[in-house]
Amino acid sequence: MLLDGLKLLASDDAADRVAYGRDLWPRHHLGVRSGRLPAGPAAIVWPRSTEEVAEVVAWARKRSVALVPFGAGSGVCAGVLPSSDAVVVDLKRMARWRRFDRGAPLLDVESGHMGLPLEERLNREGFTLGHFPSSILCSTVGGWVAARSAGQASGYYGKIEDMVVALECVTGRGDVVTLRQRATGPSLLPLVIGSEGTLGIITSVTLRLHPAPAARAFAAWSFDSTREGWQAMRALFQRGLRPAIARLYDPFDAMLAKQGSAKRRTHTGPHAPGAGSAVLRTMLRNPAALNALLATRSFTRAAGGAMLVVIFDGAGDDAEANAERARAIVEPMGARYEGEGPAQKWLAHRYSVSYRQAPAIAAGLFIDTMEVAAPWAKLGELYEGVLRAVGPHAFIMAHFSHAYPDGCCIYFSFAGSASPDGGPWDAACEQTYDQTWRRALDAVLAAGGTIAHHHGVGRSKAPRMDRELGSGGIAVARAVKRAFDPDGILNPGALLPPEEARP
Amino acid sequence: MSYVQLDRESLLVHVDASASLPSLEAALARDGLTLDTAAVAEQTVGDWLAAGAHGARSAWLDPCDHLVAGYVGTIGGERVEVRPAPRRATGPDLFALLFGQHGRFGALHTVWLRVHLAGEARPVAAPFHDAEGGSEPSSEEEALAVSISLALETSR
Ligand SMILES: Cc1cc2nc3c(=O)[nH]c(=O)nc-3n(C[C@H](O)[C@H](O)[C@H](O)COP(=O)(O)OP(=O)(O)OC[C@H]3O[C@@H](n4cnc5c(N)ncnc54)[C@H](O)[C@@H]3O)c2cc1C
Repeated sequence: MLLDGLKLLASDDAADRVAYGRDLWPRHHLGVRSGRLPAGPAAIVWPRSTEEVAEVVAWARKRSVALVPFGAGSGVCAGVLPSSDAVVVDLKRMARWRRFDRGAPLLDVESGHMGLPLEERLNREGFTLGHFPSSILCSTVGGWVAARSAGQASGYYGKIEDMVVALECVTGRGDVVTLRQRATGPSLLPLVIGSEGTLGIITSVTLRLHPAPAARAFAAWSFDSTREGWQAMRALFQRGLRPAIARLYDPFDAMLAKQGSAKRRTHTGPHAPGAGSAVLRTMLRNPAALNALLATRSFTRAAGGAMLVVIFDGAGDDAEANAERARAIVEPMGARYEGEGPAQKWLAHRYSVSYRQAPAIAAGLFIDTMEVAAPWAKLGELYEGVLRAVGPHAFIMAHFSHAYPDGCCIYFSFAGSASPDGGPWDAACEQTYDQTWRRALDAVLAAGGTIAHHHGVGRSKAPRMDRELGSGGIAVARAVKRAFDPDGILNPGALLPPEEARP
Repeated sequence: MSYVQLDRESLLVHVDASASLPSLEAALARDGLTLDTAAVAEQTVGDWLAAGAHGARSAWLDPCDHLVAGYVGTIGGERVEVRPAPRRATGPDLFALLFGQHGRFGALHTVWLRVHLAGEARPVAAPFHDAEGGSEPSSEEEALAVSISLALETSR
């Protein structure tokens, strides 16, 4: 076996190679639906300590073998897509708490720790990390840091990069390095955060903690238009309020959110979608008409308008006081108070909504999400630009779930079907999918937005990184890569456009 | 002192790195805004950031905010332009090569800074004490910085 000479837990079993061959990039699902699986790596290793990770890197470096770090594979941008001669390094056997300091408070935890058990154990100790990605059930600390993840409560606790105090990693040189944040610099830590396995294998992360909130206050408002909703959100954040949760839904997304966890349809098999699916498939063959219908005033009215849901975390009365302050700010702006119910309902179903993709894919459609961001002044251009660009090709809706004093993330969800003239169904579907993404990202860049707020770049957005960073930025990013990983063994092909594509 | 641009809607100011920090505060004050730093000594915005923005409020106090939203600079001889965004997930944050690095890897030309409404109380998160937040870089960190310098040299 390839791994001879390495005394580590390892496998080159065919089933393992299939399981570790990809992440949850929806385009992989389209491939699998039409019977194509990625090659899968040559082998998988499960190191149990930083020393074992360093051993793997030294081994790989000597043999020029590519290594692909793997958390839980919940990434949605093909950050994990190992070539058939690569070795996947799964970190999940590294999940110990190394240092828990209640005084600071902080926790140094190994990178393979899964999200939900970490938060649950912290809660039992009276603390919270405050990081709640919808994928908390299926993602790791290392994956969060490597892909600059954002949790649902970013409004108060920040994104993962705002929580990292220090991290330990093994660089592509095989060196074990601890990088730490410093109030006034210098710090190389922000280079490894977001590096998506291309600079080092993260082995442990020291995270800032908060006391678990003793109180919560809930509120929701509806608005005549999505734009009025985001102006209210902007006012909240600029006037110094920090709702942990602040989510604005456009009218259609609001309608779905109000339904909460809709009843699941059962399917008889991936190629035997039910009657509902057939209707959906037909409707999505003309997404422009559907989008136009949903953009009408009468639909907005019927759906009840856009809806903003907020939750304040607090130590006591402050949560309620902040909700009252929020009310005083947004109600003169045309907001209609909808009570506490929508926010409580959202909390009860906070992790369920994102798993609706599978039935749509099984029904022969494609479905994906795009999370982009811009300063408030560019938000209108970003929102309308993307709707205009995608509207003719896919059904599209949006919510705004991560706000900051200077700007906001827009989370677009889109669904489409095969283009009518595209040939065989699966191939035509992939064609529409690729075209939709190309147009969407072009519109984001034209509006002055950033192409990713929290899903990272992976391989799906790597070709656009030259427009995100410019040729100078790409040259610097490549130099940083050479410094950390001179032989290019760590996750080759992720994050940066292929070298030969340079002008 | 004049701004390159003031984006009041986003509470962002785009300024030249050569702008004087106290004059910038004075100009913002006339617009009802503030950087809200305790740094009053005469220095340029570029020098202030290259030295690590002493006097700026600790980032741990409000994890949802930040100091720098975008910038134009030169790193290792390459022009890097990062347009403002509240956060991004597009790889390493190359600003780490300019912030607090005392010009080691390059220099800043212009920068988008977050400004605040004058007189508005700023949010304060639960206390956090980072005991090593003022430490010197370790020898491993220094070795990496040397490798980055060399890699930037050879890419020219
Ligand atoms: C249903 C669903 C909902 C989601 N919701 C959210 C959300 O709310 N917020 C959000 O931010 N994301 C979300 N995501 C995306 C995904 O969960 C995040 O990107 C997450 O951070 C990935 O973690 P992971 O452990 O699964 O990493 P993986 O998918 O295994 O890896 C992601 C990338 O990081 C690298 N990597 C992983 N571990 C390490 C390590 N230890 N060292 C170095 N590199 C490493 C990999 O090589 C890869 O490039 C969602 C995904 C799904 C499927």
